[in-house]
Amino acid sequence: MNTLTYSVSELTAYIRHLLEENDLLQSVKVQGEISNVTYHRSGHVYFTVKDVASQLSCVWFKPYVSRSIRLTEGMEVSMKGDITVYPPRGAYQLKVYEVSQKGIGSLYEQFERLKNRLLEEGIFEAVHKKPIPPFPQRIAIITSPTGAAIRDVLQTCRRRFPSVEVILVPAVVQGQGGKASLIKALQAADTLSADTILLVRGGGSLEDLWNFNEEEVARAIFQCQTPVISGIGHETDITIADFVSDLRASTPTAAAELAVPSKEVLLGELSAWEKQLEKGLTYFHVMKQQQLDEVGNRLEQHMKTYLREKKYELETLAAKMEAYDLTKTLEKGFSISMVNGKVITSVDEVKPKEVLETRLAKGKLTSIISEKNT
Amino acid sequence: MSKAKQTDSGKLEAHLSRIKQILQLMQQAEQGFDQQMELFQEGIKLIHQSQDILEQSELHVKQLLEGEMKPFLPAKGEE
Repeated sequence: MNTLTYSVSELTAYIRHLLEENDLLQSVKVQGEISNVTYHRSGHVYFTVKDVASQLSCVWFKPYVSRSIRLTEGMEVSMKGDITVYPPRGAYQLKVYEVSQKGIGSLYEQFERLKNRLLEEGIFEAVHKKPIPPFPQRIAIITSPTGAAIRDVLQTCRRRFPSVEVILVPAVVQGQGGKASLIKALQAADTLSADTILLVRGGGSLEDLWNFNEEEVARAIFQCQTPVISGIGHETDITIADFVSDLRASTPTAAAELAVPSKEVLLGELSAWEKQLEKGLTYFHVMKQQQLDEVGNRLEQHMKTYLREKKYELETLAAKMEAYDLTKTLEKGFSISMVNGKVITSVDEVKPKEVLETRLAKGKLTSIISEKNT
Repeated sequence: MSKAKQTDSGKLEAHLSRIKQILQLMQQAEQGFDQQMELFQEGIKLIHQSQDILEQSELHVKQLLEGEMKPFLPAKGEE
């Protein structure tokens, strides 16, 4: 047991010696994620590098600071440096000599470079986007035959629009050989007389999806005569393939939904149309009935008028006939007697002393009745 | 598209556009009774055929392997 008492500086100096003289801790390589980065006015850079469980203070002195890399929050780096102790704070830190960006960082840079270049070239522009046929008869799906994406797409097609014919064009969608395989699959799919090509892959890291960020793959998509729908990764993943495809879906399932119409929607439309047809026919019947009624009414009206006219004609004729008969009779010597303008046929209709008017074939007589004989 | 035989999907598309046309024609008042009946019957027939296509078709999946069409058998673990 050590009975001596040391000053803080003495103890710190000893710790510093232990760490800085340990070969394992000199020129050591370490990798992690950048956080709390400060570019100090002095030109030194202070930051922390961490992983899920630990963190390490780092100082990158001005003479070593590289101008080709700018440290940012969340950047994955690998570094080389010495572990040193900073006595004023009693803290150990990594004195950094070299920093290189790894993983997401450098790939992200490549992605941005290619994206900007192709953007300038104009191949993402809307004029190049081909319309997606609303009722595809045949769709080609480029993906891995064993992945989750093909399962999702087939399930969606089966549910929404099983009348479509699906042709799987297998491709390597991750890692080595993926680029060449995707290009070959795109070219093959374009010869299948398909209405639409679906280029899909399930979620993964940027590295996993990297084949979809390759320039040659983008150009192969651009060359396709068949419209291409991309559905790569999850909602948040965007690849160069997404920019160049004719339509971008956020996931494989969404790509299938954009490629085929919905059976439910179509069935709903069909039954609405059926009702409309029936309604149309009913309407037609009602309309025809109304027209018929109208014609009937007109006919009836016409008939009534006609009958009225004929009746009048007949009456006139009859009156004429009657008048004709009367004249003949009077000429034979008969006469008509009237009292108070009323024709009489019996002596019972008159009383003595009444004025009697008698009509002859020619002229009238007025006389007074002196006697009646029955 | 030049396909030897019209697929269900192709028939469906043709049916749907004919049904829409029939609906328009039926709204024209100068149609005769026979014509109207014919249109109605044709429309109903096409609707029923379309419903059958939608409800009865099964998804056909093939895969292109070494330039040839082969049946596609989904991998194990498919729900």
